[in-house]
Amino acid sequence: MIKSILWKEWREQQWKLAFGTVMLLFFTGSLLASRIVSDNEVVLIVWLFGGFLLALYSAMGVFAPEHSNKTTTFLASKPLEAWKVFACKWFVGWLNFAVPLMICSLVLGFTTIRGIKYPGTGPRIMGMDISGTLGAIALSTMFYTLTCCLAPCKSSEAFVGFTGLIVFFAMIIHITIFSEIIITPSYLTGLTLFQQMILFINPLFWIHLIKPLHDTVYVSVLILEQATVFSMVLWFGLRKWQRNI
Amino acid sequence: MSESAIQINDLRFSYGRNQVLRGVNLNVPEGSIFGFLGRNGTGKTTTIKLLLGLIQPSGGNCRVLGLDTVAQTMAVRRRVGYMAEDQQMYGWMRIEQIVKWVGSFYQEWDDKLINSLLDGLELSPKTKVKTLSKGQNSRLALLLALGHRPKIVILDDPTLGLDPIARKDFLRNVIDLLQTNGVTVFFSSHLLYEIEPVADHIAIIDKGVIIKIGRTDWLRETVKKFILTPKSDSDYSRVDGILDVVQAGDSISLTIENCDKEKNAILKEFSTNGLQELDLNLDEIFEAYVIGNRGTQNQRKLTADNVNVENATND
Repeated sequence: MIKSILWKEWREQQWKLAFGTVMLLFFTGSLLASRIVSDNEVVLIVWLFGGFLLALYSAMGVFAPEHSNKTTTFLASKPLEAWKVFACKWFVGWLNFAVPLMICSLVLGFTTIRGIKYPGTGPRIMGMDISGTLGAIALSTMFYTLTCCLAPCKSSEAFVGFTGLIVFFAMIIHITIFSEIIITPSYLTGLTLFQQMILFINPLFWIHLIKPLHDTVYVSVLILEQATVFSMVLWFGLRKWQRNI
Repeated sequence: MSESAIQINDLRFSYGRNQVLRGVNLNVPEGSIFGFLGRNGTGKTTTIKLLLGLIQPSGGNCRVLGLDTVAQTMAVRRRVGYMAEDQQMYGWMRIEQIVKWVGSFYQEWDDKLINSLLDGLELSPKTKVKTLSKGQNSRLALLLALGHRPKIVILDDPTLGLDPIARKDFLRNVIDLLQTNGVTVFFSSHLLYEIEPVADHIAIIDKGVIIKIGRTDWLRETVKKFILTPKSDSDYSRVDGILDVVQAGDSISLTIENCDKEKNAILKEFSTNGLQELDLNLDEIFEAYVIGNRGTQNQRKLTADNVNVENATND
């Protein structure tokens, strides 16, 4: 049964995964070839672009098309538990940005390890590692889940996109408050609020969170808080899916 | 025919503050073709969604084939074939794909039946769903509702948006496929003429409550229209079950439910020149129940003069 739901979701969304992967690789390749930014900055841009834009694009295509195509009742009237449909939709949507990010990371990692370089330039030092990729995927997953689960009932794709923008700014405000009021980690001291916000947007900041840090209390509290928010938002999304048939 | 395929007891449902169902009670006999009539927005689709467990009632309960629709939702859905109003399906799928996909959710899916239905309903397996006409789309939806040989088929305004020929075609298919197999059909519609030749039982819902329920032929036999020229002192309060009173010149037409010889005799007393009795079709019966002015006519003595006033007020 789950296989059938996954098949349908996969057939509907597979082109997004292909499109996302190709676009991300093309974008990365273009940035590297142009040499207008440093290799490390390429990584930041790719993760920011890949993480947020692909997650936003994916969130827009998860639940909203069922409403706009008026197929929700057809799907819901079948003997399928709502949570299974919800989970399959969420998972296939998640693949749409997680897989391109992983592929892009693998390609970049490979070029770094092999020391591939352009004529006349030195070998790249990408700073792309497993924990970095996982950090980018974790951040995007949070953003994706918040966007698709918190979008108002029976939203159109465009409205989900608008919700994503609100979520993005809410996440910035949240981390700012968190770092300013609750705990100020050592690497934020001495920075202005604006600099801290910029730091938040920088995926490397999030990647640090899953690396062993000196400030383990901060990391633990933040991860616990994020896990709670994530679970509650998923539950909220499921309830919304069940109620809006 | 004695068992109830669907039992609804004091069913209530609200969308926010808007109370859609205000205590619906209904019994659908097994093997019947049950017409569920009501104007748009009276609670037909909501009742059906509650029957399938798509939404939760705020009060009361429903049982389908003895199964509670809240506690045993999946079991109900496995046994029921459902076709929604203006049913949209996945346009990118081919008919053979959607048939296979829907079939994977039912253990009892009958491929032989599906193949014969595909032929019978003139649907080509290779055709994409998005290229189907509305009539073909309805036939496909019907096919998908029947593939697991359900004991009950729920059709929610299934001919919505179809042209008259496609509508007749669809109803013929429904009768051919279902009437002979002992399947209970719960057929909701606001188009009376499409229910009339098909349904053996009907219920009329208005403003969230069932206002009439019974066998179709019994309704036709007991709801009548009488045309008479009334005496000036006629006391209509002696007649129970007046549904509608319409003034036409000197004469008055009265639509009355539960007609019998006694009522007939009373009406004859009121008339100056005999009594004309007319049979009604389902359309007229429905109209009398839903928009008839019985509430104002039934409780007090009316003369021809104040019936005129009443009609003017209603206009």
